[in-house]
Amino acid sequence: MSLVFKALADPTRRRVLELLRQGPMSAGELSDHFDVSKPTMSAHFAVLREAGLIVSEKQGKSVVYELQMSVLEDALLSFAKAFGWKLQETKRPAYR
Amino acid sequence: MKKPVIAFAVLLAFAAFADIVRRLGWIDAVMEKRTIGVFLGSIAIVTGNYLPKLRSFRSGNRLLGWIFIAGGSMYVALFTFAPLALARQAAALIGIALIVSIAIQWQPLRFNARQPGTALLLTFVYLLSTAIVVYLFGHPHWAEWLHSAFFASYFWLLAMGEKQCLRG
Repeated sequence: MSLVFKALADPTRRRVLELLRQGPMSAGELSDHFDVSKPTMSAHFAVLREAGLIVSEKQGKSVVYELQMSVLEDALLSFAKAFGWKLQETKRPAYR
Repeated sequence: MKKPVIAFAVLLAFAAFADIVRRLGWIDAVMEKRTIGVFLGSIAIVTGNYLPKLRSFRSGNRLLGWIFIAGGSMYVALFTFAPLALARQAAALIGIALIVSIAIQWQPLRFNARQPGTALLLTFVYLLSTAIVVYLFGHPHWAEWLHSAFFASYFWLLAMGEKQCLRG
């Protein structure tokens, strides 16, 4: 569940999920909506995939992403959007 | 998909356990009926929560999950707070509405019985159908046909799944 909270903590990732609610989209189509570099977007996709919120499928040369959210995760996303949650990602303490 | 299957099995075991506990005389029949109703609602909530994770549901068709959660929550509330007679009548109506909503969305899903989600949904339909019959008619003899119908439909789906695999 912490992976889900981590994924929903970032507004860019929340926006990606919002876009995917309309239907499956390729990585390129999704990236067009954001003013960030492709490696950064790839990192966001990786976090969402790791949390099990999206799935990817390779179609030809492009990777297509699709939502895979449970009802609870869907509700969490809606709450985060409605109340503008700014969830902080927990940082691990630095070990010496 | 393992988590919901485990949760489903645990809730089912608790519902069966309630029957055993009643037979042992530790709880009365009213408490047993309420407990089974609450667990049936909980099973609906667990199943509904994970339905949108199924491949067939991912593309837009996410409403059924929410309907399950709403129906399951109503079951839990009714069997916890309402008088038992009223809870059973209302639960039968809610159950029929749930089965109708599953039936409406069944065809486009192209289920494969080998998927755990399909087995989960079909088992839930079976449980719900049996509960509706009991809530409306008590324990009629013809309810035995439900068991046969469930097994027949499960094997039919399994055969359909095999057919798709062979085609694929």
